[in-house]
Amino acid sequence: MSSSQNPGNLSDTRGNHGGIAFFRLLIRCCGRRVACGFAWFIAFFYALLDGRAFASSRPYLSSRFPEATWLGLRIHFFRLIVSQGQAMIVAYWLQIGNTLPVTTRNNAVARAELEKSDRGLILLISHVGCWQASLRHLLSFSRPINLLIQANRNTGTAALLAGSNIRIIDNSSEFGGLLECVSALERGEIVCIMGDRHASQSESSLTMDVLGNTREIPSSPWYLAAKCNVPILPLFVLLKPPLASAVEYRFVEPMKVKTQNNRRPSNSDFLPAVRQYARELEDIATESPYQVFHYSLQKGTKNG
Amino acid sequence: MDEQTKQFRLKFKQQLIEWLQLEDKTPEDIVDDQPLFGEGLGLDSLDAVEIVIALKREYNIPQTEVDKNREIFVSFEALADFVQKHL
Repeated sequence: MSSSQNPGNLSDTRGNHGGIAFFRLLIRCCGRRVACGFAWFIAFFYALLDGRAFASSRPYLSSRFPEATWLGLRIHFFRLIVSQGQAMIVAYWLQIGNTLPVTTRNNAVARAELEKSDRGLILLISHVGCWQASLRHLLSFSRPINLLIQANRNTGTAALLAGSNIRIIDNSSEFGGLLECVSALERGEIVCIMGDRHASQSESSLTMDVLGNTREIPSSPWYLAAKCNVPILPLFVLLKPPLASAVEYRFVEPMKVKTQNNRRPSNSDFLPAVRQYARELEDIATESPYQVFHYSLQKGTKNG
Repeated sequence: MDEQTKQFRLKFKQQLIEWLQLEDKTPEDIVDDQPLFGEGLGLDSLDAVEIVIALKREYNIPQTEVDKNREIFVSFEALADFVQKHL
């Protein structure tokens, strides 16, 4: 998918095979710390020359830093590129079998949910920090885990999962992989779904106010939670700046979406929970502005 | 088509309209051999979830059965025949 099809996705606008191969070699030869330091140097050129990526992130940066001048926004963009580069480095670092120091927030509540094997659970991940690192954390639980992603765009993630108890459900397959998600939830398994990105252009969404911008939040995770009567556990995976030297797993209190009897869920059923998720995204953007990498911004009618 | 099948299809169309809250549709709008998804009736992936869960609830058809027979979503006719076989 090109950036014109999905203008809110920062990662669609950069990276080439040569650059990725260079960084992989650097990581293997010199380690994560050196590679993360070098990302500051490389990001400088992207910040200067990648106008398309700057344009795609500008609505977010303008709302997050409303007082910033054009030059100020460019500097914030530079920091954003550094941070995203480091997230990619950490993802590869973990993929090749290394670890990082870990801190957690709300871990006790999350652990209780993650260990309840008698019912399904939706783990709501987001394009914040290094979401791939969440998979490492999940591997420590002896529960079958399903990851709903576009498989052909995440071959590195697939490699990370080889031989593990995590199964990929391809969201470009029939019905966006949602029927496989229902089966998994009914078997009492964990299903990881991106909360901030649509699986397909036709997927329905709710629009929320995040940092003064209207942002689209896909409705399918909330719909599945309502239909399968399972909780949603949001997780944000943040990296410690300036060299991504540690990972923080930040869990949010589990959310429930309820509908009356067998009535079909509607957007109004999801609103309170989705509004809470949007607030969490806003808090992350306020606290760690350079670790938010996907912005499905839209000028349109707001639900909340 | 025998009378029993005709009656079942009419009832099943009414159920689909109710499950999927297709308020602007009548049973006559659902053409037997027209696609359910995309073109045709224009259903989406959330509608598929709704149908699978309703089949289990109303007809006791386990999802594993549906998973093994995904071709039933091609048209109303295919879906209705599949359900009728499980009565």
